[in-house]
Amino acid sequence: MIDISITNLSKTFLLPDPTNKEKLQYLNVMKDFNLNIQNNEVVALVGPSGIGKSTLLNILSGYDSKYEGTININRSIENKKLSFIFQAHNLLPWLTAYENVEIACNTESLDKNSALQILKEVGLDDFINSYPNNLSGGMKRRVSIARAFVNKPNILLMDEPFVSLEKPLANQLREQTISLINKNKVTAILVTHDLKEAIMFANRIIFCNDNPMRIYLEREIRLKDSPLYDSDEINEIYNDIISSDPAILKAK
Amino acid sequence: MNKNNSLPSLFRWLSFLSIILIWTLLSFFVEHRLFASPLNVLNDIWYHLSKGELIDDTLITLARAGTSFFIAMILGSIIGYLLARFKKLDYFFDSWVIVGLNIPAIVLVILFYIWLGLNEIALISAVVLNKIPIVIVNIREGTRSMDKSYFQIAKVYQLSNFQIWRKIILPQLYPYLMTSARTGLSLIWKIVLVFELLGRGSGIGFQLQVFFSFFDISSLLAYSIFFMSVILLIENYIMIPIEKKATHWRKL
Repeated sequence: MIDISITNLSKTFLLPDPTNKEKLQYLNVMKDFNLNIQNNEVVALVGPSGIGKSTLLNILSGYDSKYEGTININRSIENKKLSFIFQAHNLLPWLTAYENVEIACNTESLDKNSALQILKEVGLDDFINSYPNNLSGGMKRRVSIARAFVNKPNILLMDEPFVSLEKPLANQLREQTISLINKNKVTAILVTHDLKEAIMFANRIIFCNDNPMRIYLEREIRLKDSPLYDSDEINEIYNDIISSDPAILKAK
Repeated sequence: MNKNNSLPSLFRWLSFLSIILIWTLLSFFVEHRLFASPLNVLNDIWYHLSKGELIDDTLITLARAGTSFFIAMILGSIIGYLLARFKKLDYFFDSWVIVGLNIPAIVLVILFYIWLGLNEIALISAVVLNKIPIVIVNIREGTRSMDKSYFQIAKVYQLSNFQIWRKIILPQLYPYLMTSARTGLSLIWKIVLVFELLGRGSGIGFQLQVFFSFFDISSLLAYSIFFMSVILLIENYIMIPIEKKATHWRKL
């Protein structure tokens, strides 16, 4: 069953002309972009910077409403629960870890204990009253992961959620997030530059390039073992993808 | 108490005591009716307090300053926010704000006393118009510098307008509101005194004019020091604690 259907999506930005900054010019980031995502499928979008991957997530989240085309999310309004793990953790610095998570309980008549429970699940039960300024980079990411799952979402959008973290910490958080995705049976879109991360998370990797953004290549992923960033299986798939089409390196 | 924490406070007290000491020493050498000693001033404070007039005049001036302060803060905040949100409004009214910032306070009060008569409304209107442009500029700047990524959270988690104001907009505006409030308080009480001196028959400013007519330096200083002390108490026991409470997360 199709969960998210994107049909003929076009998005234009009005930007300063690089040759003459006084003048403005239209930039077509997306033109007639189409994508269908199945229920409970995790799709990774991989592609160079600035081609519109994050813009797509902003449109899907409802933050950016200036676009042409159709987006159908196959849920009734009552059931649609969307969540977002942002590239920057986007925690509100004047709210405690608990309050930052609780903010996502807004749409639901969720028991407020859900926030405490999910914070415990990500290992932050001792820091519920801490402000983001007092948390380490990894802890802030954990709070943002907890916030993303507290409302038990149907759809999860992730915009390079583990970028600029040290490798062991990033791996730990990746595993934690994958486990929460599986537990909550979420349909998810991950935007990333990291091909191994994409292999680890996704059932399907979509390689995008060019301006306007278009799908360059799709690849189904079926992992036999539990996903570990540097496992032999993931390295094997990684090498296979790279060797099958070296141009993917450019897309990546 | 931590030794380092008490050091600034100790130096502030030493600085204050040194002013009193220098003043006392000078009053011994320059013995003149136009140079009152600290003891004479203290005696006069006690005298005017015991007669009740100092308290009455202080309350009258505080009422005028307080009313002007609240009206200017509320109107200035609303206008500043709207100018930041609506560019066309800002283009239209920007020159008004610049004129407002540069009109001498004395010109406004003279005009209002002529137009409206020597009454409370004229005084408060003149003070409010003096203060509003400063609040507008501060809040406009604060609104412009709000972090837009926080509004994405509001959109994704469908926060109500009330929640957006309480959890996202106001916490970002608090530092600007507090700067406006504190600079406003220090500006308003000073101009209220001048305006009272020019056209009212009560209040600290009016009494200063009376003491000036009689060259009563001791009473003049008694009134001034007493009123300044009241303002310092308001600053220390109302404004600073409110500011600390509103921005406590920054210092953690």
